[in-house]
Amino acid sequence: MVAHGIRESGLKWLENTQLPFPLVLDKELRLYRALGLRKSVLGVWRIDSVLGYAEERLAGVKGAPVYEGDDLHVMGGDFFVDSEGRLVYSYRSAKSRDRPSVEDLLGVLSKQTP
Amino acid sequence: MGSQTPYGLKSRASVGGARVQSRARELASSIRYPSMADATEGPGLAKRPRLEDEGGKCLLLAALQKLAAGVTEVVEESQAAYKAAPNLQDYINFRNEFGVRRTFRAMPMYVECMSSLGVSTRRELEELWKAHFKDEGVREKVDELIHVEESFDEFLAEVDEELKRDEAQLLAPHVVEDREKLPLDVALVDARSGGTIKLESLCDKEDNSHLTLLILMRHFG
Repeated sequence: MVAHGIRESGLKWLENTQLPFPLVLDKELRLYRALGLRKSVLGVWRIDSVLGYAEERLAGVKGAPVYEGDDLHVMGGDFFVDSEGRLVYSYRSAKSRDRPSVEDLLGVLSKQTP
Repeated sequence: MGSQTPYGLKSRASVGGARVQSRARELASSIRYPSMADATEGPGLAKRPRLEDEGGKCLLLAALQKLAAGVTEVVEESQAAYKAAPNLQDYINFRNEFGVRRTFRAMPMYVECMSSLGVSTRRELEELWKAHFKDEGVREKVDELIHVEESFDEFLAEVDEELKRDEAQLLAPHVVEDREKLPLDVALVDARSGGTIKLESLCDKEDNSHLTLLILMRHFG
């Protein structure tokens, strides 16, 4: 996992989630920018995001906290790289909660299996 | 905006049925919108039965009228705050309670509208208003709501354009495309140890059939 917040928030998040994988921080957003990820207010606050949160609220889902040092406008993405560091798959989120499905990601891996 | 809406309605059609409008205004004023604090704390709102009779149609119209008016106010207030902000970074700073985060005021308005009508998703809300499309007042309010929702996103797109220009100098000289190598010498911080590591240490060099999945988060929340 790659994040861009402060280490203290990262440690708190690790404690909350018990993530079993490495968590690295890219505070200067160098990797984010190299992968074409930029900030967006439309991606975060657009009306269908507002509706999504409203529907969650009605379903009784609690809102996520904002951690110290978080910049909510940085867009995320999912990327597969091979052993040489070459990009073999990229998914750049256009809005909040926009991520590839697990099936899509597993599909990328299955293509790699000899 | 064009004269046709996605529902094939006339924009800003004049509405007959003054008595329906008057009743709708009475009902609209009786609907309370929760505050932002209500939206982030407390239990979910209780569902009410679906509305399908004549009295139900009035409540639908009132709820749509209130929602459209509320979202319009959010858009107008946001546009004014953006123009008044000393600079773009100040406006988009999450800690600025008068900045872009105020657009989120629209969220509890949708919660209240949907809850008051006994629906819990946008799709259900649309099914409800489509079931009452014979009512010209309902059609007009739906048209108005869709128009203001488009304005909401158009405003944010405008801010995004300025953000893009603002960030242009910060962008990497080259965005990595498929089959290209990432900048493997990028220094990252291992959150657990606090130590510096290079991106290449995350690539699995032991087995060239293995891939490494990098999930770049939006934020910890």
